[in-house]
Amino acid sequence: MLFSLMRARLSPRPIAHYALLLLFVLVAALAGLAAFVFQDTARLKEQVAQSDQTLAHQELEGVIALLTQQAESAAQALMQWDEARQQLENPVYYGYWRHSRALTAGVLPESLDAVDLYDLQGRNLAAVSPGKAGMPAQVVTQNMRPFLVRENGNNYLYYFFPFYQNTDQTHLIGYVGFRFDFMRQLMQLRKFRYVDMASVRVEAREGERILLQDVVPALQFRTTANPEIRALEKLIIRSFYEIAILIAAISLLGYLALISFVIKPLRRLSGHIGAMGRGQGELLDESYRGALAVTELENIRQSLNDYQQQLDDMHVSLVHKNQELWTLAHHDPLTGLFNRRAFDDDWRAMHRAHRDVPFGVVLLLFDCDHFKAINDTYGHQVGDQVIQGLAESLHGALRADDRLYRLGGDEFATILFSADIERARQVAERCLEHVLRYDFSAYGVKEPVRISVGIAHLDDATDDALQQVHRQADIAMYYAKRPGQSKIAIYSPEMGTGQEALVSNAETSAIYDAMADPDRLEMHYQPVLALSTSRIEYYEALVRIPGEHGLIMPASIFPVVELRGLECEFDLAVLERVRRDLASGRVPAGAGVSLNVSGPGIVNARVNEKLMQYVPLLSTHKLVLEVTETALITQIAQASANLKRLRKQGFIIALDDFGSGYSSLGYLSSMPVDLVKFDISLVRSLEESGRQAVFVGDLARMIKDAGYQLVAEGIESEALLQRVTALGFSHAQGFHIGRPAPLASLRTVSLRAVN
Amino acid sequence: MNRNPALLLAALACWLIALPSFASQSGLVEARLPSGKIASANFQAGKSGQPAVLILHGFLQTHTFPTIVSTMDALSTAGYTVVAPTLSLGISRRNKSLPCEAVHLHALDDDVAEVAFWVRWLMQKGHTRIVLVGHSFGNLQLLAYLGRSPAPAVKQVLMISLTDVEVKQNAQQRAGLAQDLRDRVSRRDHALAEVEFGHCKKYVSPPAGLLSYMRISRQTILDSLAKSAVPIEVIMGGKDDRMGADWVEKLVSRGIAVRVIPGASHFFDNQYEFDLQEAVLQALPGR
Repeated sequence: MLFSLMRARLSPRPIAHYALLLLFVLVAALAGLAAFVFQDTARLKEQVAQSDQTLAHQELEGVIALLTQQAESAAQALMQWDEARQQLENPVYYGYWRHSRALTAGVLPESLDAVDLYDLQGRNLAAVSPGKAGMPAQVVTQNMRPFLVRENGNNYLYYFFPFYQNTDQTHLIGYVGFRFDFMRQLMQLRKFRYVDMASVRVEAREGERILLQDVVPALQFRTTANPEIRALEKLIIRSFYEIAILIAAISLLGYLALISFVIKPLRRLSGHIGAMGRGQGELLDESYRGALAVTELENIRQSLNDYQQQLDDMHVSLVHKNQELWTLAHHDPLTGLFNRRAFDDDWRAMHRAHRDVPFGVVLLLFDCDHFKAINDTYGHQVGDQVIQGLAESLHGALRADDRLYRLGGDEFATILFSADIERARQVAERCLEHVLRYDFSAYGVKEPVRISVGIAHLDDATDDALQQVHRQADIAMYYAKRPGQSKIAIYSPEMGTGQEALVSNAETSAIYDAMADPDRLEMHYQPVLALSTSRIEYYEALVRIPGEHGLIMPASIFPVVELRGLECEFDLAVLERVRRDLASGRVPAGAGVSLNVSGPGIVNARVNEKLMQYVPLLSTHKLVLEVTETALITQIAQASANLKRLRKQGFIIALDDFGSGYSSLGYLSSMPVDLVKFDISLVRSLEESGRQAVFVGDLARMIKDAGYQLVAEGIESEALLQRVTALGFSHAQGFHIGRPAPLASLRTVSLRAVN
Repeated sequence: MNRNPALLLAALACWLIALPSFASQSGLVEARLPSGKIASANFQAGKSGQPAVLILHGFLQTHTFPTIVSTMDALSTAGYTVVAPTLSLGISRRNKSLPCEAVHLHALDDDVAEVAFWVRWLMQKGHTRIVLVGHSFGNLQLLAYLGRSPAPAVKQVLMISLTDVEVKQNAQQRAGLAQDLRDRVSRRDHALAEVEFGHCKKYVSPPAGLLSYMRISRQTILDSLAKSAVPIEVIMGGKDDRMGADWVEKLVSRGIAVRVIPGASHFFDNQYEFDLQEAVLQALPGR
């Protein structure tokens, strides 16, 4: 609790609070000083008042002493005065003397109010002489102490002295009495410094006598306001106010200076630092003076500005770097097109922009046909140029607002918003035309470069739908690549049943499991009829993989294998599985087996090694190696060398799916091929009456004439069988002859087929 | 104040016997008068064989009057025994001049008695030759003394600035005043008279006392001078404005030797102080 309280108290405060606190402390100190000064002044005044009171008493005592002295002097003068002695010796005319001479002869002080002489018995000479007696008629000669008496409202001070005739005061001849008007004497004798004479009062009743020694205590008076102390007090107060005003002015100026020179710059610096923290920092302007008044603050400002400048520079550099990085990250360096990351970002951005609004989207995937063969044939440099050419032609086919992405390798994509299928198809066709018109021969590519386009459409796109539509477009694109298919394929759920196995995790797992354990492969064998003998000469081994929902067919297997580059491993597994079938003796003796080997497999050493394991079987079985022309043009030299070696060992080499790819007769003539298997699309065209049938027939005859044996696939009718027989095909294969069947039913099929 | 002079003299003699202590060599001496008052005098003893000099001050003055002091110093220096008494004027130990306005209880007879007292005092000191020196009104008191059986030892009288009493008031005025005073006395009116007398604008005195002085007139002065058995010499200031212009002539016409010091005033002040001293010394015998 205490700790938190202390922390709360010690928490940072704005400097203005400290400045105000300083000002408050200063004012408090000033107030304290004022209180101290006023208290001290009051104490001084009290001390002075007490001192004045004492001095006033002393002053009064002094005056009374002076009065006494004056009375004594008057008594001495009187005793020296012949006329006074005359009156004591012969007071016959005392009245005259007292009235006309005593106070007017200049012997006695004029301040004397009355004087009277007394005989040795203390009797007033006036008692025996006519005249008004202003003095006591009788004095007590034994007690002649002076006293003050209040008479008729006036205060009189009486002195009595013995009167000697001679100067050595041995001859007493009487007494003398003086009366002074006390108040008048006080005022006349001297100017009072401490006693306010107007306030002097004698506390005495009428007729009451107060001995002289008790007079001062009986006086009531006020002290005169001490002009010096008053002046001193005024001086102190004035000085204090002057100092206070000076201090206040200095404090105010200091406070303003503090605000101007420290607090405001500090606030600006603080605000600036805060803004920097929020990323809103700008360079701090210097003040109109050119610099902050406080050196340290100016240094901080300059340092902050330097840091800010550096940060800005860094920020600009980072922005440029980010832009560059973004560009690098979102663009394909080869073509300058947006890349896969840009594709994903755009998709998410598009989705965010239309989060609550359903929108239609069409994804077009472009893929170059046989690019790998082109790349392998002409080298990567030409392959890159082909990719650039494809990018250029595709980009030219799209609208300016449509973005073209290179998703990887030879795969391109664009997304069309708010577009229907028909328009997408038009765009795809325009792209195909642009690609066809592009002159790839400038790069030395002799074969035509074509693309396949897969189109997928979504009416209500969501973020997750990207994967879905992409997969659908992928499936459509592979569908488009299939031999005999149009180069533009629009995804439909039907094509998804087979193709979607491509991305089925369970089926993919089954493929992997089969590759790990060839026994998991289930080989079906389709008979190939030798037309010249009407006998089943050999069987094409077709792979199947048992799956959760039945057999996984090649149409679903090979896209996965090719997509993941598993051709060699898969070839090895299939070869091993077939070898085991042959080794088990379940394949009828004399019956041949046709083995499909992928393009990568034909140039792979392990696959070739595996094939060499078949050599002992050549004595009992006819072994045909079927390779696609696409496979052959990949590393054609190595492929040709391997095929020649295998051919020398006794293998029959068949060119599979002739007519679905390049179908380059140039290739055919240079390859060690014994059989040419016409693709099913070519064979089926023979059933139609058109130019293509004629062309296929002529082609068959030409290849036959060149010394090759021909195999017709897809023979599903007797008419077609007759037709290919008539064209000179040496072998035929198809459902009409025999469906692919497991090994267990191979004999039956064979027999039926033979039959 | 009408007293018998013989009685006064007898009393004075008794007091002189009773006051042996008053005798002294020099300085201020005091003596109790027959009246009981104590009188004082400045006494300076001189050389033996030379006459003693009594110097009497003017009206209401004392022996400290400058003219008196100066003359006394000169005589004392010259070896004379000098006594300068201060007339008491009815006041014991009177030591200051008595103002005109003071109550004057003294009379001419009292003054004459005191002169006689101091003459006898000198005689008691063995002086057989006494010279009386008066100044101003003191000369009139000396004349009164001379007119009343002066001591045989008085051999010479020297009067300095002899006063004419009829300078301020003429004879008629004085006669009127004297008559008024006599009337008061006759009807026993002892109330103080406050009148102009001599050089006093207001002289306060019982009628009898003042009347005693009113008996002196110019004529009585001249007559007294003329009838004096003791040789009298007068010294006058040439510019004494207190006297009438013919005063010296009147004196001379009465056969009085008058020595006039030109330029001197009534008081022989300033440088005439020395002229006066020289004149006094020249006038005294034994030189």
